[in-house]
Amino acid sequence: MILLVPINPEVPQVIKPKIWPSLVMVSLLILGFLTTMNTLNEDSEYVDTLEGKINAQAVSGNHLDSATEEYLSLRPLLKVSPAKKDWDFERLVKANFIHGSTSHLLLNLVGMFAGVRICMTFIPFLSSLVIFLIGGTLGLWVSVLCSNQISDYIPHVGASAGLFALMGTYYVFNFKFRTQYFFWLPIRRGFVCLRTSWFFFVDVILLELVLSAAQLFPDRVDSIDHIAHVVGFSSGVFLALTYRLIMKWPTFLQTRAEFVFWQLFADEKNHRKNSKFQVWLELLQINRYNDFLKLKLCHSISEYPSKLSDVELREAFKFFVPTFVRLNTPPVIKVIRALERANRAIPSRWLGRVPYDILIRLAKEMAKSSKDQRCLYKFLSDYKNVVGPTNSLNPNLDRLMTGIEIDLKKLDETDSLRAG
Amino acid sequence: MNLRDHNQDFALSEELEKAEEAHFKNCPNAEFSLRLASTTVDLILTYLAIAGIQNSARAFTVFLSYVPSYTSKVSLLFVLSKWITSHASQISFLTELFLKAAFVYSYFIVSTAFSGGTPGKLLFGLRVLNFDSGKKLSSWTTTVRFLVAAVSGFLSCGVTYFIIFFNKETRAYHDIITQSCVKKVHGVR
Repeated sequence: MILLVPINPEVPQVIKPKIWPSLVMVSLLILGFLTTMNTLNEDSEYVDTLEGKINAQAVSGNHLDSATEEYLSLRPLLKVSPAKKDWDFERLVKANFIHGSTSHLLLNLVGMFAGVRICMTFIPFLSSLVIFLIGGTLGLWVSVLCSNQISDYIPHVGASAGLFALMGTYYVFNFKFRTQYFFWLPIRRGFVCLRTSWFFFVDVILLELVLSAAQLFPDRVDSIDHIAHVVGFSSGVFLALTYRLIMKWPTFLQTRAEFVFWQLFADEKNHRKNSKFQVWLELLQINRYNDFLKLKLCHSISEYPSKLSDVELREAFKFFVPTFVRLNTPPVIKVIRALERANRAIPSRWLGRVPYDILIRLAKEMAKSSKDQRCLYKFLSDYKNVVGPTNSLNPNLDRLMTGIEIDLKKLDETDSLRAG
Repeated sequence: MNLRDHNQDFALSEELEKAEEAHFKNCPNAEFSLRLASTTVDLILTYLAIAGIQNSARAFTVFLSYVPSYTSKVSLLFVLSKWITSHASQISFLTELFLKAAFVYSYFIVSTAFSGGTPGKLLFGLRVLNFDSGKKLSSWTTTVRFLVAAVSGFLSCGVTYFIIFFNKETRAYHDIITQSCVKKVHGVR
């Protein structure tokens, strides 16, 4: 995750999350570390006296003997953190804010800063804090009970379970959308956008699932608490789904800003058919990266192409950017087809700005169906008219248009013969 | 009635394929910075996958070591599972090797031959094409290209890659050998 750092969901600058919630949570973690520093040092000295014995028994995979266990049951860190045979609810909660070392703390500080920040796009700060605490506590509790270790008095500490709960929340809210990742090179301003669903799953979840299963056996793969991660993540997913269910969050809305607009101004039951189109346009003004709203817009235009004014069509086509057309070609074809059948013109400004690879992609999609060839011919003719006589189409497209023209003439002759 | 009788010479989709190839041929070659960025993304994704396979293999070894505990002691399955346990690390190593090879093959070769580029290149709107015709490379040419890039890059510690910076057509050593090039195809009007 350090190589490709998730910065925020792909949203406009004005609704990108603020920094202050992250700073509050980071401060809490630092405070937790500073207040338990003395306890950590005491605990370290206490355990050091047994280091040789513990290492020997750890290598052989045996559980420690009862005398050593009794000694370890009195270690200082167990006053503030839970272990398998010595835990309670208060210590489970406190353990979310304790870290075993500076490096452990630093890694979780980076994760906390990113995690809280990206969740703020969807839920309020208090909700993030509650999810962090519930998910973190549950993760630590299951890990304490299920981990197979050489001693029952090894404390479980760290904010990782809570961070994974926040990741689970983010995964639910941004599942169908894209995440902006920082990747260290000054290209595209150092960001790339990747689909949350697959990249997140491969990079985080799959690996954690595999490694947490290994934690159930005595041999340790590593010293990371994978069970806490998985349980924390699952808790975050569950809590996020519950939140969405209670709030009746529509699946096509991405951010909290869109949701608030939807709740206040756009109750679907009160729509007239035309005003749905206006609602999608307004929502896209808030978040122009939401492809699902664009699909709704495509659907509205395809259903009622004659009812929309030229200005409304122009406004709608502004959102059909090349990336959207590449990823959602059939719905855009439906729009073009509907406009052609209703004798409406495709906005010339949009046509003039269409990159050539998009033009060919649209043409290839239309060529799959013989019913769309008239539409294809009109589309290419309109494009040719817009780009002007000096910019001639690729010779193959010219030939294509000539071929379709001959076909259409033959079809018209056949139809007129039949009518006669 | 269909507009086209299938005995006719004129084939719509073929003409469009030719138009696309001609367009790709006229597209500009990708500049060094874009190629470097796409390669960086590829390396990051490859590293994540390889590290994941490696960690999974270590977990797999742990599982295989405990297989007999979960089988009845009086069965053929127990004999088999004892064999598995005694060869856990070898089985795990071979599985790991196979998965890594399969990943590298599908990521760098299958993806380029089928889609025109690795995921990193596709993300940046780049395509690996034949330099003369603008067509996609065959599987064989893609394999040779990848092997030449890997071997020459390894032997020269990456220097052969940076030849792109000095080449007028922004082609690397493995591009010149296989008559290929990397074109920027998205956003060209």
